[in-house]
Amino acid sequence: MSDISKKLSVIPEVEQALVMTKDGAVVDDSSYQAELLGANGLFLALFSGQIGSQFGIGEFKSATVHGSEHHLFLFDSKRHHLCVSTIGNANVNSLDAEIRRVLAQK
Amino acid sequence: MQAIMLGLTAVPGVMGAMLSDERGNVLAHSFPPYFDAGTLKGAAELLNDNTVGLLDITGGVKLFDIRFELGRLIIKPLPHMFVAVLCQPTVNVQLLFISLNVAIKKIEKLSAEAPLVQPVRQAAPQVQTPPPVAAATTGAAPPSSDYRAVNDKKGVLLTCETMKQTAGTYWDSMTDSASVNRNTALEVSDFFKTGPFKKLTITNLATGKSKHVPVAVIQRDRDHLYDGKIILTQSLSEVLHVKEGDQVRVEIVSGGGFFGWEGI
Repeated sequence: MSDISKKLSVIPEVEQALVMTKDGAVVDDSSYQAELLGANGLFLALFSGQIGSQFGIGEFKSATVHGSEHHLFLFDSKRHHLCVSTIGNANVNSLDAEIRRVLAQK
Repeated sequence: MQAIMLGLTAVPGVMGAMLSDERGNVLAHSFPPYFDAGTLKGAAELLNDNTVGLLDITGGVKLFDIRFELGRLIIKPLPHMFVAVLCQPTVNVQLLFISLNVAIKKIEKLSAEAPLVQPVRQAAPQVQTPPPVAAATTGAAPPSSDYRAVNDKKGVLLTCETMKQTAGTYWDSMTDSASVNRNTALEVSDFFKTGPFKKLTITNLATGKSKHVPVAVIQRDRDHLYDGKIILTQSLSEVLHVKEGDQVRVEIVSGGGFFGWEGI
């Protein structure tokens, strides 16, 4: 389990979290589940980048996908993406705030 | 629809909203002139092409909320449509969600009264003239699809094209199968009101020969080169005695079988 997964595991709704490079290589996790989530995260990052450049609204920062069974969160940093999957019956906005709060902690 | 989109821009911080269909056409929008038709059309095509990609991992996408340096984009997938709202990063998103829900209810009500995606089809029994195919062959295909099915009473009329025999299609060309693009498949399923289908009965109008064959759907045909066309394998072309440019009638056979579903 990667450090970021350990850190975010304090949030009960979080199912999986991973850090990946901008070209989709998952850091510190070689499981199939991580690869799958990483692939979906990369797809979301590419789609977000494309639609953002179409509207000309600057660089991609983060994305939230409200799903029926799982929610998907993607956060951008200088060299990496953080991708988080959570259960689908949780409140997306409060989860988003909670993830940001945990990540801000030193 | 335009009024509904304008209603969304009344929310402080919203720059514009757009309603697009599942073919990538912009149905209505309230964006300022800075965002030209090409930009909106490109965005609509991106939505159409990419939003299904996360279906498996999320179990069905209810909403996208994407934040950028200079703005925030909310995308709400609806049945056969998408609403995209572009706003400033500082928008009150809860207020926007309330307005968005109101707008969606209005859109659903309007689309229930008059189908948005498909204009009402004339029940004219006469054979209509097929759409010109010259544009497709010269490569000057229209950027947006205005293809509507040409039909006689019994089925949808499509223009034949024979699959080119290459190393990649060598074995396929020996099977009896056909392919249509997504727009054409939608028009056919809308005509018969069956939803997705896997097989079609293809009839040569000149000879009356027909065959029930499996059909593949070409997902990526951005230039709409194959609107109103059906691509037949060489084997099937020989069975039906059709050549390129001939017209065939396609039908979805929804009856038959013990439970009445065989042939769909």
